[in-house]
Amino acid sequence: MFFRKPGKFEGGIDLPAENRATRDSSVTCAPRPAELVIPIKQARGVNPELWVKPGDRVTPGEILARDDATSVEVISPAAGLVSQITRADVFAGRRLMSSDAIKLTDLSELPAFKPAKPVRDWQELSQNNLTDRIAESGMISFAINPKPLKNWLTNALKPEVTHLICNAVDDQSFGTATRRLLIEAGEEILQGLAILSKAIGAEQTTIAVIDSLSRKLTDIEKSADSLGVKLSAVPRKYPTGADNILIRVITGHEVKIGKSPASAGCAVVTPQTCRAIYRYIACDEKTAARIVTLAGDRAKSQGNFYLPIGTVCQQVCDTQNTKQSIIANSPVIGQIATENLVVTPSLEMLVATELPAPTSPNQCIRCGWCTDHCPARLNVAILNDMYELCDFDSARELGVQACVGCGVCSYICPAKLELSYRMSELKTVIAQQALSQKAGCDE
Amino acid sequence: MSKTQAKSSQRRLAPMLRASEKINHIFNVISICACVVLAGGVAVFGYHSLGVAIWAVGSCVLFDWLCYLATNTPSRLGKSHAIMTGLLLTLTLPAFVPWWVVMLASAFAILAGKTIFGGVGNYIWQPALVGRFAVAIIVPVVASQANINPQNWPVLSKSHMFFGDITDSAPAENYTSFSEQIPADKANAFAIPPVNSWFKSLTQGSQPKLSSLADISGGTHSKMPALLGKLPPMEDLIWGKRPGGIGETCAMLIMIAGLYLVYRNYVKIELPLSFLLCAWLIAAVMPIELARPDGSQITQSMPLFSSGLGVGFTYANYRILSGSYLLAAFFLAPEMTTRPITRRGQIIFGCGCGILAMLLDMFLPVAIPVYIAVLIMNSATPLIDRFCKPRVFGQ
Repeated sequence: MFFRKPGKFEGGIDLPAENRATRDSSVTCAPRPAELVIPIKQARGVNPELWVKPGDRVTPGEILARDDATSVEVISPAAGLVSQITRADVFAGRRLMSSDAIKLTDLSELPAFKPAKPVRDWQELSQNNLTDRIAESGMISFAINPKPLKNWLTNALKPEVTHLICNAVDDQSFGTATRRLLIEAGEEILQGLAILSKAIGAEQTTIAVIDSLSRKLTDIEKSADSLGVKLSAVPRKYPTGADNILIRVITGHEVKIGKSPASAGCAVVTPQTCRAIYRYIACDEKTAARIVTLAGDRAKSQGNFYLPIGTVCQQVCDTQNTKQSIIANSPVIGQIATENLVVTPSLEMLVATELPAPTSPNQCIRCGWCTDHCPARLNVAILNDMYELCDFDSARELGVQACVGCGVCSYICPAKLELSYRMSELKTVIAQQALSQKAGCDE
Repeated sequence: MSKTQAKSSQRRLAPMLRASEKINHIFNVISICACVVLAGGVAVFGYHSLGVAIWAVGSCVLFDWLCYLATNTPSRLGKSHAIMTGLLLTLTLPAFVPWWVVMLASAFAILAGKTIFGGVGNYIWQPALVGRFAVAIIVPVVASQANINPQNWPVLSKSHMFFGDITDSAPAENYTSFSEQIPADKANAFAIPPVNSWFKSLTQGSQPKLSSLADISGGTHSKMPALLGKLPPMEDLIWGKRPGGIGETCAMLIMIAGLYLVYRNYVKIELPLSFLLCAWLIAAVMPIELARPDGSQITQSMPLFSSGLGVGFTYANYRILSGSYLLAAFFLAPEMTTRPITRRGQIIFGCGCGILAMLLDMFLPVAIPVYIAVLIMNSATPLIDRFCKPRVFGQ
């Protein structure tokens, strides 16, 4: 077989694969939006400053805001008029955050999903040249928890990092954006991955896909071979797509508790990031749009759409019916979309559905299913006791920092406890304690 | 309006969609499985066992409701847990107990077993066993029957299955098997000694009553009988046609219902397996006392090997099938709240239960050795949970 046989991990669940409606619908452009609301803070830890003021006219690719510390740039996806500075909600780090936003009206030259002609051969560029160009690109990664690419590169350039993994695993119930992107722009992703691989000097480069999709990717096998990229088919078990779990499955190494993937000698990127890198390096084109899956039984039109950053989610889904809710990102880890939520690099899908009435949580009966299914092998039932007792030291000893935040524990809990939220609260408190301790030592 | 709507929807935390299983589903499925086992009890012990079940479930629900009323808390799980406790309690009681004993057991199960600790999810001992334990101490009549020989327990005869009256029993001399016997004096039921009472003489008491495990030589050389010659055939034990608690006897139904619970992931197979395996091993290796032809006493150290492997195996199998091991292993020990959480912890818990249960059964004159073993291990659960930590990812 061409596809390498991957390893396994304990725990995890089989989520129902409700992707039949969108998995074969090719990427299209949504109807022209009336306005774009582009948030200037699209990831945690960045604070860009505005470069435009209301009344300015902007062209596609023009810088709207820039953070000098991380060299993150917010660029305009289309030509238009800056009408006002307003607020928008952004999905980042599994929560919603509010940010200043630039409202663009009178739009034209919206981005389209079509192949681009390379203006240069990137293979002629040296490694240092590539590294500098990527660091200067001002992009943030297209991931659930987005980061400035410059920070990502600093991590990936550590000497222990030898393996670059492209996380193209669609293990969520509804998402098919990654799948469509691989089928329709697989070549560009491979090129982008090879660019990154050369930039960080990786010895091994792997792209991981679900095994059912691997059969459809026969036409990119040859170019993957010539670029030195291995294809790897992983089983469709949730959460194979969590970075730490994927590293375990592909390499057999485990990321140390509370550390970055670099501790396992790996760096992980997403396909959309690879595509954006390729477009930037080879075509001199900055990407300010992403593919978003619109799914759910209440969606007006299901499918995969190429949406410019700043598209207002409520307008895409066109919700008139108050009964239905839009979930930003997969139903297992996502949030209910607010009316101000806009498309940012971290938004993979929008699921419009009628949610069942919320059930009030019950007493934990210690069935132990959370512990059985936790992919990080945490004893979630005991950690839940720690949360209720506010015993953070014991929770740290039990390794709660290893939690990958997949939400499996909450999903299967028969008592309907908010276990995943509780674990993330424990992690937050422990991280804050560690920070304040460090500050105390420094003084 | 839209602002408050957004706020209220934001309060909803991920995951938005959840697995459909709920706590009361778990309790209801266990109750249904207990009903399957109860059906076997009704066949062998007659309508009296159904009466015990109705009394137990009714009084458990009543006491549960009274507790919620007294503590002024809403019952969010409905009556599912009280029904489950009542049914499990029924399975551990003999069919001939009077109604007030059942009610007493239910009161202990709900009040002392569950409510005192704060209800579902908080108790440390399996509530049904707390009730059973209390009546075994307070009312020893549970272990005997007043109107017939206290050593003998009744089983309905073949012609009276399902509808016979268990209290209308007559002693059956030289009882060998269920299908070949006709009850004396036109009674509905045989009064026969429980199977495991034969085992008591092997390890307890001063005077051994048995000459050997099996009479291989066809022997008439001893005045004492051989053990396996006095026991009913194995199939009687598998179908449950032997004296005992309502749900303790029918091994076949207990295993079918228990394996369904395993299939539903309510019971991890490791726990019943380690429980039964350890009990079996202890039975196979612990020494027994037999009588020589001249009446003096001889100790056999390893019953598994001393009379040949075949006899040893059969002896240990009879041991497992004649007590309440199967019911405890599949229904009572794996009770979620009172067993350890991790897989390794459950194996330790199961081994502890099995070893303790068989040792108590063999060497101490207690009425309910298996249930007491489970209760003891329940007390050790927090300790086991503390020491069995799974290896965390990345450690």
